[in-house]
Amino acid sequence: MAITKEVIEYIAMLARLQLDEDEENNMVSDISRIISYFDKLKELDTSNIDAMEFLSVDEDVFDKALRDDVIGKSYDRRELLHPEEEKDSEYFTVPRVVE
Amino acid sequence: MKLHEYTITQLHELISKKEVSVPELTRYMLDRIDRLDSNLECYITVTQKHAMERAESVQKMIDEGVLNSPLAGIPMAIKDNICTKGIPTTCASKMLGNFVPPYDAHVVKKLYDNGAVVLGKLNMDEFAMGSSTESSYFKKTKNPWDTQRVPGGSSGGSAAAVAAGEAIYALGSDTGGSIRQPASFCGCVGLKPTYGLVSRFGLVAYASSFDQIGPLTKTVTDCALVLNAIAGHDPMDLTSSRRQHPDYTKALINDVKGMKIGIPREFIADNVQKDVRDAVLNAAKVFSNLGAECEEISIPSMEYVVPTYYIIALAEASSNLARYDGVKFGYRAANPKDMLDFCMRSRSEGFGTEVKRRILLGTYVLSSGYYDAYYKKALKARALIIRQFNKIFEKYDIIIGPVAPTTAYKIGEKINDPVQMYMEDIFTVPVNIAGLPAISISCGFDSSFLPIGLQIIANRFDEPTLIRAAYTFEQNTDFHKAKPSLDE
Repeated sequence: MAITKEVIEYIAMLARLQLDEDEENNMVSDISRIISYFDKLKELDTSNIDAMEFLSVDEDVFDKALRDDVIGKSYDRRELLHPEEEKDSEYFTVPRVVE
Repeated sequence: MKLHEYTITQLHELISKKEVSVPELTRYMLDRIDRLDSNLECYITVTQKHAMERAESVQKMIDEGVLNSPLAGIPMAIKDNICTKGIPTTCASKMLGNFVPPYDAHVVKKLYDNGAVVLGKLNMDEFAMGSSTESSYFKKTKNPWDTQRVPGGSSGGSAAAVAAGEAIYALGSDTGGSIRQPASFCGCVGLKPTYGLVSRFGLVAYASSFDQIGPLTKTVTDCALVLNAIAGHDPMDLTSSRRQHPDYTKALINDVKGMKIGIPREFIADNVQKDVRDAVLNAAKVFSNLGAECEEISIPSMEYVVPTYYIIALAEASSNLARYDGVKFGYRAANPKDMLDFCMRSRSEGFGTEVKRRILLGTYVLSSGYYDAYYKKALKARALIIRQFNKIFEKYDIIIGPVAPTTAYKIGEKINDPVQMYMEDIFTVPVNIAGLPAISISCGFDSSFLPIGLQIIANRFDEPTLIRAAYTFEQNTDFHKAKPSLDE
């Protein structure tokens, strides 16, 4: 499918990005070119290959056993809060979500 | 010789013999940064006060005999996507311009345990997305060999700082070549370890199945020393290997007799700048003369590696970067209308163009209707590419080739052509696709006296063979001894 302005607007919404007119036009042309370059992959014969095969070669990388559920040391709340929060805030503040 | 020209090994000796103190050395390095960095722009943050305090306490521990690591007291710097407690970690993005991590990355903790003195945080492409360090929100780092040219990227600040003597060594991260390519452009040693060897805890995620932290140093010996310090299992990273890693300095052996070396014909094709190809072929001759057996080989799927890499990397990036919504950390848009507006404007005002482009591409290849054609297809291609490497390593110990098709290019020359930029990563991305270790070492200069990097690739967890081959090449050539001439 061709990468049109509508496609860019749709994926921008999915990605929670707002583009201005110029950005949008540039993205239409850049992303069209990049996607048609990606399309080269369609030539490659990958029949009989499991998409998750790449994980199996590294069995010694991925932890097999999950650790026990133990209580660890947590971070100081203040350090984790956004720097723009009020000094005595105990929460992250966001715009009102319920009326 | 001046202090900034010394290697880790040499400085360790000077510090041990009390010929220089850690505070003296640190002061010297900070003064040098102060003098050079307004021109080269390697650093985003210089941690003057922190570094001097740390230097004093490390010196004390050395004097008390409780710290004898070869890295003790050596001034170094860290790419700005690796978390440092209390020190801003911006990822060279407006998005994280105000982010001060509440914890240290695993590698940073390990380096502190070894007595490292952190001089500051280094420039990079925004969120490590780029190959020239031009996409940084803050500044454009210059290549110390020619300040009209890019240092490479995304760890461009790391490579330029090491090459210019603004840090004795540095940490970088490599998702698709981001340690090796700038090391090649700046003439230093850059190692991308095997996936899983070094913990990614505290590395700001770009593409999690490729990302790996590694050292940029002046010599292969220094590289082995830093790798010793940062490698090893970390329960905070699910993909961290439980293997015991060897002492990599034991692999510093000047001998490649009988080593089997493959040179993929796809790595020395017409798309490679002639000076680069000649330097790589000359490197093969050096190895042959030292008793290695070099043979031409083929990686049949080379023409598919760039699309495979970018589809997977950008899919992972779009998902990883979804966390930047203005709520928990990072840039917050002012006066939001509602939650959606808050999220959308925080992201749109906080991210730069290249990051947005990559998020959009990643979102596209994962979106309903395209997932199978792009993302799933790329995973299958990834498996195929891994099979081809496995087959090669049944017969060969290492693979050699160029790091990049060209030497360092002019600032602004390629930034407006993303497809061209992506294609330049052709020789580095296969290594990340297959999770292999690879190193860049100096193997020559082009006609403008810009450094050329030789890439050596080994099998998973076979860093010892990689280091042995790189060390042997270095001991038998003089390329690594050349230094950029800076106006001082």
